[in-house]
Amino acid sequence: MEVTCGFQGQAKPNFCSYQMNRTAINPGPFGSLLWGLLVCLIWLPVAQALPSQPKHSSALELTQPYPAEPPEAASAPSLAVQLADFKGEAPVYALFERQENFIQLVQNDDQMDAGFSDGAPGDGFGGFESFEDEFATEAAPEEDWLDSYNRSMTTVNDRLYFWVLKPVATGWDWVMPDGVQNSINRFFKNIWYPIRLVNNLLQAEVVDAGEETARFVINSTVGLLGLFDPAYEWFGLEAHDEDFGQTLAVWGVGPGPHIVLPVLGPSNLRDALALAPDSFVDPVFCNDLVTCQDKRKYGYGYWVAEEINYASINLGAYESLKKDAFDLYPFLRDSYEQNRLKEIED
Amino acid sequence: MKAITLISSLLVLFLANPLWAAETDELTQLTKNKIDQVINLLQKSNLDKPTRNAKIIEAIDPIFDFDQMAKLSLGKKYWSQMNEAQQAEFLKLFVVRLQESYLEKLDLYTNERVEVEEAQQVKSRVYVTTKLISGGEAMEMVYKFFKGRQGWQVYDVVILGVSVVQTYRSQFEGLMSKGNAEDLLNKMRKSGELKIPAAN
Repeated sequence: MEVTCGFQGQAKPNFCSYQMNRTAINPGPFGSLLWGLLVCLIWLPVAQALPSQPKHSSALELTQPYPAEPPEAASAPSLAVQLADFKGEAPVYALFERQENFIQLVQNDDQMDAGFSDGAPGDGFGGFESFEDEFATEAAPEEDWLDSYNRSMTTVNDRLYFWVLKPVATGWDWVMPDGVQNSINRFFKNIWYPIRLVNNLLQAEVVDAGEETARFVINSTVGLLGLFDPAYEWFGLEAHDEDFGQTLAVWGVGPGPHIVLPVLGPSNLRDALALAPDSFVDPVFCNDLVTCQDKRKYGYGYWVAEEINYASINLGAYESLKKDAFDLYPFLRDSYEQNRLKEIED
Repeated sequence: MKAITLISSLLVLFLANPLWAAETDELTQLTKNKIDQVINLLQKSNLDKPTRNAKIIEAIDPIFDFDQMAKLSLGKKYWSQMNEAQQAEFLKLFVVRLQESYLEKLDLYTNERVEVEEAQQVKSRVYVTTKLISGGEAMEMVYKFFKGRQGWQVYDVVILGVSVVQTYRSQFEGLMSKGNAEDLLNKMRKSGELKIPAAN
């Protein structure tokens, strides 16, 4: 390591230290990967040692993001309604409902319709009884402060998809054979291995991190730079998609308010903030933890290419998804948040 | 009274348990059969689309309780706010929509492999998890069954963690808390014509 301290022996301490830092922090093309591993090695024992945050505890809490509706009895429905509910099929049931200890009974109710096949409310009003606690009734988390901004941004992104991304992706789809599109998609997934590795390790998923590493090694070599996926086809090694947003969730960070990002689409505060740490280990964007300058201008190019290619494989998926929406923004918001909960659990 | 409840529920559990193993197996098999049936229909290129779709709906209808899905999506509170005519219209519009949406998703199917896992019993429900395998990625889809008057039927489908019923429920909550049943039905009548709803 050569350190130059200014001209002709003149002391320039700032300049000196800058040079030293640059040399030390920029260890080469795989710098980001090494730094990622280093960070992991530090974090791994810490993450495991945190007693107040057992693994996946947050995921468990998060499975009920919205306040569950209080038991039906809390609002004391009239006896007439309840009798109508059961249509005299299970009178025992209706009698029990009058008991004060309702919560316990609601639980029994679930077991009871397991036992009496024809006593299970299949239609009519009674069909709701044993289901109400399964679905959250609150439409939006109360902290949806950004509702109007999110709605406008959803519209903007929607227009961007139909006016820009879709025409370009359709053209790409027309030009490219399906096999090539899939290969390009696999190529990009393969080079994002550092993000998955780092986050698997940060979540103490050591086995998954090993599987990811094996996949990367096999697919980068035998799989011709990731264009093919022999790791799965021949060895059954599965990908374990993890990002820093999921890592934070596993550490116990809640999702925060939902935010629709320009171009990127639905996200929330936690996941949006987590984009930055992931970009530090993203080999497309950055091979240097400090400046990230070297590749940034190409990085966006790669990213845009990946997005267009991905859209070209999944043409029609968004349109089809959209048909399930009466009201697009809450639909996309809920789909995003529910899907994230699932990913965090995995 | 409490004692009776306890005893009866224990009894029910005791009596019901031996049945479960057989029933979950049966449901796994049933789901497998239905998926095979649907995939067969999708791969038959000699059928025109309307006939094919009609056959698919015919095949899955016995195991889907579309009415129950519709009601759960609306939620008890809003269902009971509707009069009978409104309820009937809601069911009609929504069930068609659910079926169309399902058929629409099937159009995206391109010969991926589908794996059906062992059914899981969760309280009085049975969840059958299926995986659509494409390129090292498994897309998870869970069919949730309940036992109604017509036997075991699906009341919710969870795709990649996203529950169909739950997402509709939130949307309906939003629409109904701002408007009334007639507004909702109007929106549904219109979106039936429009096919793809506008972004706002």
